[in-house]
Amino acid sequence: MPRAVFGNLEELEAKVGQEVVVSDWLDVGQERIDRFAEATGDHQWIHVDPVRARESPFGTTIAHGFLTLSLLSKFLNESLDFGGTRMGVNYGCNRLRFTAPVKSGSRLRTRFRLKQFERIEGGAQLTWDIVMECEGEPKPVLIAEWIGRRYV
Amino acid sequence: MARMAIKHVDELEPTIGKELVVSDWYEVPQLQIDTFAEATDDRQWIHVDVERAKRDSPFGGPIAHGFLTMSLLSLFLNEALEIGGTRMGVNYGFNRLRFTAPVRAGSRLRGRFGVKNLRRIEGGVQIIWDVTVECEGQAKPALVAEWVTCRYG
Repeated sequence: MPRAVFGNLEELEAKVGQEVVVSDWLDVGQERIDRFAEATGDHQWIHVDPVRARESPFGTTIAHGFLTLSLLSKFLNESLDFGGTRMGVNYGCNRLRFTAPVKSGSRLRTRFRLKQFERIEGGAQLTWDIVMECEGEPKPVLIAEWIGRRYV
Repeated sequence: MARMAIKHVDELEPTIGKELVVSDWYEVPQLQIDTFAEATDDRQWIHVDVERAKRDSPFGGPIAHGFLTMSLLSLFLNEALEIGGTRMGVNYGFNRLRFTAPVRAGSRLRGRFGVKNLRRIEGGVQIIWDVTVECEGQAKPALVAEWVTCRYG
């Protein structure tokens, strides 16, 4: 169930400058990390070798930064119901930083603040201020300005 | 086999501002897109519903997730360039990232890399890469980015 529901894009436009939604927590286990390694060909030991990773500076395996980033689509789409839109397209990011490691088995969630709303042909371009949090950690794991387009 | 091997990260310094290395071509089949969808729980129809995408998508068929194309950067760079004397690489983020064209399932991609900037940090270096991902047969790149990574000795 989405946590925030909008009937149309105009209703979302009224939220510029505000935090629109915070996602549910999601477990990021080793199985997901291994699958991501398979999908992307990134099998670096800090991600997929739990034995060797005990000697890494993190003491255990960590998720790929690109995995935590790629979870943004899930976090947004499961948190927010964009009424009447047919398709979403990822446009990119402005400044983005992986601010802390995500250990295998962590729980993550994402805060979405709508920074900018721009009309484009057939829909809208949305710029989100993103903060991804790791349960029990004071420091966020990802901060970014993420740009997506929604088409009606 | 890495296409270029350097013994030490210092050898990157004189290359700043020039193109350094181009990766091999990699095919992105539908199966890989499906695996990525499983790993990230992004099962939007434009990526995984082949029939609907052929029928309804403005791209004429299923396309790779932008985040999949982006996530291949690690593979492209690590297979194209071996940096001796470093033990571990850490992904620091992007200054800017744009998905500039869709990547149809079955496309072949490669990454072009140059060093934009390099600076010493504790225990290693931070490198800012100028990155372009090309799609075979397409004039427009699929991705352009300024990517920031750290290498530790």
